[in-house]
Amino acid sequence: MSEKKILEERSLILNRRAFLGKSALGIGGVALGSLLGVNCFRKDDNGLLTPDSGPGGIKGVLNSLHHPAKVKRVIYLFQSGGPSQLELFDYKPTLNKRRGEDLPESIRNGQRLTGMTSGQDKFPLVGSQFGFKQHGKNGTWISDLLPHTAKMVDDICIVKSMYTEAINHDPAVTFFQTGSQQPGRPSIGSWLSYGLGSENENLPGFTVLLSRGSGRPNGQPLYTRLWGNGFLHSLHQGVQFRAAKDPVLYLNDPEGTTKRTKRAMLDQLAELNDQHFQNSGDPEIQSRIAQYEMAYRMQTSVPDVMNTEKEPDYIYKMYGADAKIPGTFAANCLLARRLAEQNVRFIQLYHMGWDQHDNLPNAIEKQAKDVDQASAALIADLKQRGMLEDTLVVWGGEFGRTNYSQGLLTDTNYGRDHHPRCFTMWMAGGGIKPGIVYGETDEFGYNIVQNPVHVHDFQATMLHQLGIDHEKLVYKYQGRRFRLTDVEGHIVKDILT
Amino acid sequence: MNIFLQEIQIGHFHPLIVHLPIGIIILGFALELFNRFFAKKPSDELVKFTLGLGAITAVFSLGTGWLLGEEGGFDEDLLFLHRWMAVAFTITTILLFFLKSTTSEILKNTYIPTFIVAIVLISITGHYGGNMTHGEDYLFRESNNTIKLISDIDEAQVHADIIQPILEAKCVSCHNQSKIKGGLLMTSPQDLLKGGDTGSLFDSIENRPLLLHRIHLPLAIEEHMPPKGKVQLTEAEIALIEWWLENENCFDCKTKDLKTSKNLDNILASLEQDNSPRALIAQKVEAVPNSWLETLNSSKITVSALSEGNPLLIAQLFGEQKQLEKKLHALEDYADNIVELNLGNSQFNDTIANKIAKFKHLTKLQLQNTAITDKSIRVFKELEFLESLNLYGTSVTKAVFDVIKNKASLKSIYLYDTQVSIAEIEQFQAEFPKIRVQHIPTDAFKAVALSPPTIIAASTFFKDSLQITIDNTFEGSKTFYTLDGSAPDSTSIAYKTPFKIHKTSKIQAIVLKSGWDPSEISSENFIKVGVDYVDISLNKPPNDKYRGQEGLTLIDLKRGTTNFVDGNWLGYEANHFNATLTLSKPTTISKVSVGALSAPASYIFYPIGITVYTSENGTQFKRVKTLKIPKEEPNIDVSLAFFDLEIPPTTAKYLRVEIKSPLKNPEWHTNPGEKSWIFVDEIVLN
Repeated sequence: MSEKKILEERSLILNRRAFLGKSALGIGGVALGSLLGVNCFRKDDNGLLTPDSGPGGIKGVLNSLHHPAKVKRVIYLFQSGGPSQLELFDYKPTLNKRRGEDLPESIRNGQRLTGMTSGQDKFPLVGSQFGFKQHGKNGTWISDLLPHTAKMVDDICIVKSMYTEAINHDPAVTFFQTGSQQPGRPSIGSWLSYGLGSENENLPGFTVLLSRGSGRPNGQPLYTRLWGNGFLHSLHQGVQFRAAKDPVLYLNDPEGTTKRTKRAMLDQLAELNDQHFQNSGDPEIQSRIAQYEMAYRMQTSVPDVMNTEKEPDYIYKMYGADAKIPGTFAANCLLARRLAEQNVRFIQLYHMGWDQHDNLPNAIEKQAKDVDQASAALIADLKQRGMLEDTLVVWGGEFGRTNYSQGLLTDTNYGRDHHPRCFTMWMAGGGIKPGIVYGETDEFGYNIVQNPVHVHDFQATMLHQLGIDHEKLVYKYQGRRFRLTDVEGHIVKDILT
Repeated sequence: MNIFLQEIQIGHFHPLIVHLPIGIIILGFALELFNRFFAKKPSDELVKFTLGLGAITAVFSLGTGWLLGEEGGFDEDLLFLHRWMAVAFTITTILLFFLKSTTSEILKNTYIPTFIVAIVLISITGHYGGNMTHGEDYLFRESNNTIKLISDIDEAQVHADIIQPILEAKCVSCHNQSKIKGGLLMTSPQDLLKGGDTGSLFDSIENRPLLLHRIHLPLAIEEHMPPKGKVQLTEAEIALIEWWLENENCFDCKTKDLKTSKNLDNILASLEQDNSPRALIAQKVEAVPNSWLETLNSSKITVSALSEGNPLLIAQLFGEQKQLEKKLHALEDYADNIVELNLGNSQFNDTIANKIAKFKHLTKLQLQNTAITDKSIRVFKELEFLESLNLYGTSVTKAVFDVIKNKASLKSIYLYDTQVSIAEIEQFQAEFPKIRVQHIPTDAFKAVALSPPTIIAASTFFKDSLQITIDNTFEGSKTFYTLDGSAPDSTSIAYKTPFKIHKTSKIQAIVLKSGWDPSEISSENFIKVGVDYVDISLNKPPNDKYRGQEGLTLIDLKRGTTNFVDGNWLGYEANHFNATLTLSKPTTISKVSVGALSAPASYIFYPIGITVYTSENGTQFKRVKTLKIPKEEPNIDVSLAFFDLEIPPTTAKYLRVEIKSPLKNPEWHTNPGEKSWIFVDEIVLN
C-alpha cells in the first residue's frame, strides 16, 4: 500500500470515528438522523430551513437542566487589561499611610513578577489617589471614581477575593474564558451554546461586543479565539457584533441581490452541501448549512436589535450620552439589554484599556468614567424590566494590580503592574445575594485572608446559576472528557440566595 | 536512622500493604483451580511462588498492623478480633506454602481445606479491618446521605437537630465507638462533655472552647480538626457551632431561645425544609410524560421542565391572540405543573386573560409589553402562589394595587413604564413594604452630561485653508463653537455644516441640550504653516523600530500621538541628530517649532537643546539661535510638546535643526544612567 493510500484510509477511519463519536451528542444526532433518511431540516412558517430541534432555536446537548436554574442568561462585562481593585473597590488606607515604603518581603512572599517590574529594586507602596465612601444599606466602601455603581451597591455582590494563576493578559483572559491558560478550549459562551442551545432561532446564542477604553486607547488587543468554539462544533462560536454599518460582517447581501435570488441560492447550496454530507458524513457540513440559514435570518433580526433609535431620551440619560455613540461601552451595554430581551443566552462585552502600568491616576479616571454609569444603568434597567430576576450580570477583569508602584512614584503619579493574588469582581442578578461583600484581602491589599474564590470557582458558580452542574457538562475530545472548570471548581454557595 | 524511623510511622503503612496478601492469596487460589481444571501445562512452581509472596506480604501486613493498633484510638473489641484473626491468617498462609512444597501424601490432602480456611479467614479479617476504618455501619449504610431538613427551625433543638448532625457528618467517622481517635467520642452529649485526651471540648484554650480552638487552627497544623485531607467544615457550619458554644452546655435549648445575628438567621433558614411554593407544588403534582412535552414542542410551544426529574414546567409563548389562545388551551392538560408562564411581548390581551386562571400554580407570570388593562387584572386574585408579576410596559393603573395588596405570596411586581406614577408606587410601598414594587429611585440617574463633540480635520497643520468637521451624534442636541480661544456657550457660533479656517486657530466646541448638563468643551489647535520644503535630510538614520518615513516624517504636517509606534515619530536612542531642510526658494523665517514626546516610563525624554543654523548655499551654515531646555523634573506622565524658537527674521534657502538628547536616564529614574531616547515628530517653520 502506498503511503498516500495509508494516509487516506487513516483519515477516513478517523473521520468516521469522530463522526460516530459526535453523532451521539448534539448536532451530530441531527446528522445521524439525516443519514438514516429522516429529514433533519424542516421549513418553518416563513418557509425557512431550520434544524428540526424544537421550536426555540437549536437544542443543546442537555435534554434538561441538572437543577432548576436561577438565571436564563448572562451578561458578562469583561474589563480587559486588569482593572486596579485598589482604586475601585478594595479600600486600603494602610497603603496611603505607608506610601513610598518598600513592600515587605513577608507580604510579597516570593510572588512571581512580570518582566515589567521584576527588574525594579524597590517596590514602593502606593494607595489610591481617589477617595472612598461608604454606600448602601451595608456601608460598602466604593471609590469616588464609581459614583453610579455606588448607587446600585444594594443590588450587587462584590467579591474582593478573586485570584487567578496567570500573570499576563492573554493567558489570564483565556483562563477566565475557557478554563485553561493555553488556547484551544471552548469559551464559556460556546459551552453554554453546546449545552443549552439557543433560545432564539433568529439570533446566535452567544454574542460578543467590543469597546475600546479611553484610559489606554492603544491597550492590549483581544483575539477572536477568546470567543472561539475550541473543539466544539463551529456552530457554537461567539458572533461578534461590530459598531459599524455592518454589525455582523458579510451579513448583508451584495448590491443587486434580491431576497428571492438569495433564497434560491441558499436552497441550491444546501442541496449540494447535503449531497456532500451524504458522501462524507462530516457533521461540520451540517454546521455550515445551519450557519447559512442563521445568517439569512439574522439579516432581519440583527438590524432590529441594533436599531436603538426608538429608545427614549431617559434611557440615554440612564446609560449616559455615550450610549448614542456606536462602539462605546455604554452603547454596548444598551445593546446587551436589547439582546437579553431577545433571549440571547450569553452576551459577552469586552471593554479594553484597563492595563495601566504607568500614568494610572489619569488613565483610570477616564476609564472608570467609560464604564461606571453604563454598568450601573444596565443593572437598573434590567431591574425595572423584571429581567434582573433571571439574568446574571458579571463585571470584572482577568487579574488585579499591584499595591506598589511600577516605575517611579511621584507626588501625583504612579503605575501598577499585574497582580494575580487578589482582585475584585462584582455580580448581580438572579440567585446572587444582593448588597453583600464577599472575601477579604490583607491590609496591604496583596494577599487574600478570607474566602478566596478561584477562577474555576467563579465558572462553576456561573454554570450553577444557569442550572448546569459544571462537572457534568463535558465533551470528549482527544481521549479525555473536557469541561469548562477542568478538574477543579467549587460553587461559591455563600454568595447565593 | 533513628530520627528517620520516628519521622515515618511504620504502622501507617498498614493500609497500603494490607491489600497485597488479600489479592495475592486469592490469585493463588485461582491459579490452583486453573492448574487443576483448565491448564494444559499445570505449573506448581507458579502457585508456590504466589503463595510464598502471599506469606511474606502477610507477615509485613501483620507487623505494620500490630504497630498501628498500638497507637490506640480503635474499638478494643474490634481490634482484638481483627488482630488475632490476622495472626491466624498469617500462620495459615505460611502453612499453605509448606503444604504446597511437601511430598507427604497425607499432608497433601489437607492442602485444599487449609486453602479454603485461609480464604475464609482473610474475608473475615478484612471485614473487621474495614469496619475499623470506615465505621461498623459502613457496608449497610444508605448511600444517599440525605441532609435532614428541619420543618420548623424556631422549634428545633439546637444540639440534637442542628449541631449533632454536623458532628455526625464531619467528626464521628473518627470519633466513634469503633475508632476513638484521641480518646474522644462525639456521639452523645455526655461524651462531648467528657472530652478526650486533651480535655473537655468546652475547656477554654486561648479564650476559646477547645473544640473551636481546634477548628480554627491553620490547616497545616496537625492538631487542626477535621484533619487535612478530610472533608472540612463549611463556613456556615463553623458559624453554627460557634453560636451554639457561646451558650455553654446548652444541650436542650431551642433555636428561638438563643440570640441570632442576621448572618446566622440566613444560615438557619437554609437548614429549614424547602417550604417555598414551588417545593410544595412539586410534591402535589404528578410528572408530565415526555411524549406530551415533545408534542407541544414540535408545535412551537416552548415548554420545558424546570430540571431533570422535576415535574414543574416553564412555558413561554409568543404570537398573535388566536395562536396564543390555542397554545394556552394545549397547555391546560398539565396546567397544574406550570409554575412559570412568560407571555411578554406577545399579543396577549384582555379577551384571553381569563385563560390564566386555569394555571393556578403559577409563581411567576410575565405579561410585560402586552395589551392587558385594568379590566382583566382581577385574574391575578386566582393565583394564590404568585410570587413575581411583570406588568411593565402595559397600560395598567394603580387599580392593580387593590388587586394585589393582600396577596400574601407576592414578593415582586414590575410596573415600570405603566400608568402608575412613581409617587403612587412610593405611597403603596410605604403601606405594604412586603411586596416590592421594583423600580429605580428617581434620583439615581439625573443630571447627566452630554458627550463632548469631536473636532475632526485632516491634520493639525495646513498651508492655505483647512476643513473642520465637528462630530456630535446625539440627536436633538446643538453644537456651538468658537475660533478665538474663548469658551463656547449657547451664544457662540452654532455648528451646522463643515467649515474652513484660513489662519492659525484654537477651536473650542460644546454640545448643549435642554434637560441635559452641557458637555465638556472639546478643544483643538490648528496651525498654519507658510514655508514650502523641497527636501530634508538627516545626518544619521533613526532607530530601526521608530523610523517612520525617515526625514519626511518631520515635514508631513502630521502629529504623532502618545502611541509612539504610530509611525509619525522618529526615535533616537542615546543619540543627538540634526535635520537639514531645503526650501523651494529663499524665504524669510521667524520661527522654528519642534514637536517632541516625553514618556519617562518608556525611557523617552524631551530634548535638552535645539539649535538652528541657516545657510544660503547649503554648505556654509551660520548658527542663528540655541534653545536650552531645562531637564525634566521627576514625572512619569506621557506628554507631547512643541518647542518654539523665535529667531530674528532671516532669509535662507537652507536650514539645519540640531536636536540634543539627554542621552541617559536622569538620576531620579527607576533605571538611572541607562540609555534614553528622544522622539521627534515635526519641524514647522514660519
